[in-house]
Amino acid sequence: MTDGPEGPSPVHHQMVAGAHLREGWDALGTLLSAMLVFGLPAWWLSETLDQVWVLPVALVLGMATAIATIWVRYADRGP
Amino acid sequence: MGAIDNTAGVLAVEGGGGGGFWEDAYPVIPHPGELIVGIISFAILYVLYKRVVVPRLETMLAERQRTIEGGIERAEAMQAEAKAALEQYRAQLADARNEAAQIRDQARAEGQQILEELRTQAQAESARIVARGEEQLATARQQVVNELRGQIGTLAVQLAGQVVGESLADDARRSGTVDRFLDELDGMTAAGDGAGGATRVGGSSR
Amino acid sequence: MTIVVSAAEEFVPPSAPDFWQPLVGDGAFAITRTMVVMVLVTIGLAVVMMLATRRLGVVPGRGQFRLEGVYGLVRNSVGRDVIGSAHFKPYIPLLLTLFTLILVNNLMGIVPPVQFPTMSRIGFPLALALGVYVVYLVAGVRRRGLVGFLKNLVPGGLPFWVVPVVFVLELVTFLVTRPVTLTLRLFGNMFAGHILLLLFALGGEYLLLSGEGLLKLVAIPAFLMFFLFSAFEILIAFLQAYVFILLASVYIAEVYADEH
Repeated sequence: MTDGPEGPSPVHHQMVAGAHLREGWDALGTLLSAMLVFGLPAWWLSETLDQVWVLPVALVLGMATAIATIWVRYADRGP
Repeated sequence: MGAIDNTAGVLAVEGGGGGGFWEDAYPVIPHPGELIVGIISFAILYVLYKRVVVPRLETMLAERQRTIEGGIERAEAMQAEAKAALEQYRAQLADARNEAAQIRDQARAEGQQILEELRTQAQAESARIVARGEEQLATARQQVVNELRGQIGTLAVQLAGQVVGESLADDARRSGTVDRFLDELDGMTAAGDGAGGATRVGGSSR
Repeated sequence: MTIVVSAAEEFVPPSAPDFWQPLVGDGAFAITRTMVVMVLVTIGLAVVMMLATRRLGVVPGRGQFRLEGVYGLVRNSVGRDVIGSAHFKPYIPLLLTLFTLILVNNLMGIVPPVQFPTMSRIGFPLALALGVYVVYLVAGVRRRGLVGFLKNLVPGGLPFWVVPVVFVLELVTFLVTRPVTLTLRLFGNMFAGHILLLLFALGGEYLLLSGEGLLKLVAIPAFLMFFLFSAFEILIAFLQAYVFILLASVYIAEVYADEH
């Protein structure tokens, strides 16, 4: 149990620690946030307008936005 | 199976669904009492861990690390010491070797000197012995020559007297003739192989 | 999953009301069974940890070896490796508290005298998630200031039209999604696991008592499944405690991850 500088980490560490783990959970969080951001107003809207289709459309839109955002954000923008 | 018994009991007491708001509430609605108890328990345990448990464990880990590092240092010191001792020993060994070589060289030189001295001494001795021998030889020779000269003279005079008669009875003339003869004889030997011997005899007798 | 049995008494599958078990009083501040479990677990953990760390040797004994195993998992495998060796030290107490509290409370879901997972009442995982929430928000704001914290939500170099979208989504992620998912993951796992156990136990009991003829025999596989899933719950208990502190570490690590 020493605190020395970490050498090349084994596979377990690369999967569990490291930036990839964070990016994975970030992407998942973005997906869920998009569902919330689009879903809650759409739900309220569908209740007031009495229109059923608003919520699913908004959810699909939210999902698309989230995927596009993740795409742009984590894409390798080249050198 | 306490849970099941308890559930059954609670259900029996409540009469199967006649309870208040919290029984029928969605399970994702947090119960305030439970939330508060959760926060308090969490806070108490956190403070305890932060103040006592984790510092104790960290102290132990630090001490362990120090012990390990101390052990390594000790081992390094011992290794250095051993290395120094080895170095010293090698130096001493080299010194001793040098000294031995010096002593050997010195001894050899001394031996050489003694040998030289002995040799010159022996040569001188042998030369001296040879010289004395030659001297004795020369003396003996001189003696022999002198004796022979006398005898030969007498013999020659007798021989000549017998041959010539009494004409040579005169002493004076006789001795002159003999001496002249002998001188001639000497000159003959000197011109021949007897010259070297005569010179050496003369040199060594001086 | 309803079991239709032609019996006088109808089978009632376990559901949410089974988790409401007040011991004293009623209403919002009733003392419930899970509260008692939580308090007992906290006291037990405090006592055990105090006693276990009273005399720590450089060369560990058997008890200390186990304690160090747990501590090493939390400190090194999660704390140091996820947060990074430069910043993980102040968060060890938080992670250790979360791990031990969740693990023992989860195990209470199958330990016979209790057999009720504390974390299947959403108040408790919410309390823990709020703790993590406060810690990572405070750490983030303290490190960069409020403006810097908000700016850091959007990584640099993005096309301008994505920036507002990313900002809103990131803000919602930070403020809502993370604590909610942290809470719901733990709660959901323990809730569902306990419902499953209840279903097998109550179903088996019902079949045994009220079943007719050969149906009584079906109780045997039901009880077998109960024991199987009880063993499975041990794995879940550990896994959920681990995932909880892993995610807490990931959220805290985000605060210190600026160079990438």
